[in-house]
Amino acid sequence: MTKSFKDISLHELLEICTDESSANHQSAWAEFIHRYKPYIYKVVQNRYLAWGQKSTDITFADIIDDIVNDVFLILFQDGGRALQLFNARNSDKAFRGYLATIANRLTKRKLTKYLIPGAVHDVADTSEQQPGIEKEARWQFFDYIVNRIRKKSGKNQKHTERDILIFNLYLLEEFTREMIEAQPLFRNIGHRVVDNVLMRNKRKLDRDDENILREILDL
Amino acid sequence: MRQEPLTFGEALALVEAKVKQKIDFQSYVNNSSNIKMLERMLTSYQEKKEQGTTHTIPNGCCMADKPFLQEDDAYFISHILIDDALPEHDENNKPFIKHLNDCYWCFKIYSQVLREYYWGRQKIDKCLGGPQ
Repeated sequence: MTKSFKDISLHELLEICTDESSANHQSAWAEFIHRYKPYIYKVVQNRYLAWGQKSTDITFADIIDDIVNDVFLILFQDGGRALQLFNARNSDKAFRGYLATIANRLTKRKLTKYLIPGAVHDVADTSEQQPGIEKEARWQFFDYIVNRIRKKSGKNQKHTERDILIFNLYLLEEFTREMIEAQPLFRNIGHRVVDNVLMRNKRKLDRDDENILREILDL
Repeated sequence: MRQEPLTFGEALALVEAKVKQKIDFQSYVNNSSNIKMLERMLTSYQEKKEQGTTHTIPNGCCMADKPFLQEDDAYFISHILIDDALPEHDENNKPFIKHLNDCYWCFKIYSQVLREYYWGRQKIDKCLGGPQ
């Protein structure tokens, strides 16, 4: 009997999409595309229109389709690794925020690199005009980094929590070394500790982690 | 002379500078609401110092989408102006650091306030002719 995917939850859908051994794998992806492609298309289209639709003579629909396909490539690759990263599987709103983050980044990259170099920097970043989209997704990356580093550090490392906080302030909040060292929490740490912490934690994120974070966050 | 409203982090930097007797508020701000805010924070600091600083992180606050750092002036005042000088500073801060790693919303508030605080300190140091 063919299972109907129309009413399955986001949680179940992502489970099957990321399980290549499932008999329903392809059907789940079909439902995923049916459910989220219009939304991704809309995000890419809005981003594109905000940035530079008059700067190229390549047809509008082709460019949008191309970028939307790239978004799905990211989601499909490595057994749905980008979907595995997403934890808040009970929240469709948060998941749409996550998809919007990926779609926005790819649109920006595409326009900057191939179509209208420089144009992206000439107009206001519209992310601030879409409250609740990228911000909703951002904590997912925070959560991911914290969990990965805790797992890789083990229980014996004395300063794991301190080091994670330093790393996240640097990576996600763009604190400089001087800003970190000036904080009351870290005033007693020794010279070059911040540099060592950053280097050590970068090593704890493996190549796959780095690729996926770079792909999504432009890090 | 600062006219526009101070951010909370900037105000913390000014209260810290006042406590260490480097400055008087009127030399840096002349907006009456800014002065009121600074004096209120200074009073809070003095009360907290007399009482001793025993702040705890409430259980589950952030699970309920109400990060405890939101609008919690007292915690920052204790954290920056009082705890920092204590010898057991590092040990006391461990639960707080752990919480900042567990709760993204508190992490965001903390980083915002501390960013403002950092730039506030930079401005004060510049006015005083270099880091003190």
